[in-house]
Amino acid sequence: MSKSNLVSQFTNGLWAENPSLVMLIGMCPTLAITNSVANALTMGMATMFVLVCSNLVISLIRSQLQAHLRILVYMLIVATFVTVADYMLQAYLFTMSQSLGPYVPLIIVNCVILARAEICAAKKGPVTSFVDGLGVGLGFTFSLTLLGVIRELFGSRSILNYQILPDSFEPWVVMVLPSGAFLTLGLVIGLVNYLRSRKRVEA
Amino acid sequence: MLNMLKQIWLVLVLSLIFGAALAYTDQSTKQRIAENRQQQIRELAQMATVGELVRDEKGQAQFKIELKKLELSDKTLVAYEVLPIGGKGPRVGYAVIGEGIGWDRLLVLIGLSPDLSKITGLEILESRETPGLGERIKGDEFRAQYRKSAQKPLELVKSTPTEDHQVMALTGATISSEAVTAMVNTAVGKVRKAIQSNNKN
Repeated sequence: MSKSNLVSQFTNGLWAENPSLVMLIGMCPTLAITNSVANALTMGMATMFVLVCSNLVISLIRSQLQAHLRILVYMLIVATFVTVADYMLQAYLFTMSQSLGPYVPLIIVNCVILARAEICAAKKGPVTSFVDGLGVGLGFTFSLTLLGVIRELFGSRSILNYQILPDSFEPWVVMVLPSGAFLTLGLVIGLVNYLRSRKRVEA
Repeated sequence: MLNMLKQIWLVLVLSLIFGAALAYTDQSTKQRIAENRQQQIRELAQMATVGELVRDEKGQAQFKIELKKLELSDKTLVAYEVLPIGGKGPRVGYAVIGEGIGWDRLLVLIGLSPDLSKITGLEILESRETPGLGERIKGDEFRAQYRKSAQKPLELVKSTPTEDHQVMALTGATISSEAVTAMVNTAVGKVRKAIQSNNKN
């Protein structure tokens, strides 16, 4: 696999096939835990860890996969890495794991991971799959963090708990509630579509 | 048989490897996770008995109390004696952990006065209720209602309380409010009985 192909595989996940802003998959964590930047970052990182590891393992065993057992094997692999990530969070980032609550174990059924297993890891070599996992994982972390920044800034006046907006700014409570997640996500997807369509016209 | 093995060997081998990996992760994180939980219980116990918890600039809790686990005949009940730090001075109170079901498993920590006559505080240890509805049991206003005499079981009402032992349910979160009240009543009843029988012996 040439170097430029690897680079395009990497950037593909970041932008062209960004899971939550373009492919619109993995919506559950995107909406649920982006009320603060710290939550969004931790969730993104945990998902990226699982994605990279599962892509790598699936790619390594892809020649041995029985077509009708593959989903079972994917679940086995993903569940293992998610449990490892969950235990690590509980041991080293206890308050964070409490605020993420059930959403860490729920990474097991995050369709971003299953989608990448089917689209990439089951068909391509370990290096490509690793890079793909990294790209998509970073793309996912980026979009979660972007939503987190907007929601935390307007909903709690702060970013990563550092106050940014002055006290005179009345926090928009709706932004930290579920409805704020839908509003922000809609606006951001609209912006991304606008940018993409403009690029297409130029090309 | 051979055909079957051919199909499932990968699943079997992977399960074995992953099982071992998970066992290793569990072993290596178990102690730390238990310490984290104990730290959280101690923080909440201070909140429920002393009423405040000061943190330094690193976010580390400045403890005024320490916990001594009570040896009770009822093994399902987890309760602590709350003592001033270093064990100097009189008992601060008791902390009991109540367990129950709202929409999912709920764990609360109840602070009691040294003579067990009063509930000094209620803290939510673990809850996965619906945000915006049941999760409001974490709110200060709702929890403050439980700071009252422990002599009589508490009663949940849906309108403004008229008697002292009544607690007002959260609108739209009756099941969660009921669960908390039932847990408090059960845990307080059990711990009073257990401590009194311990003292007699």
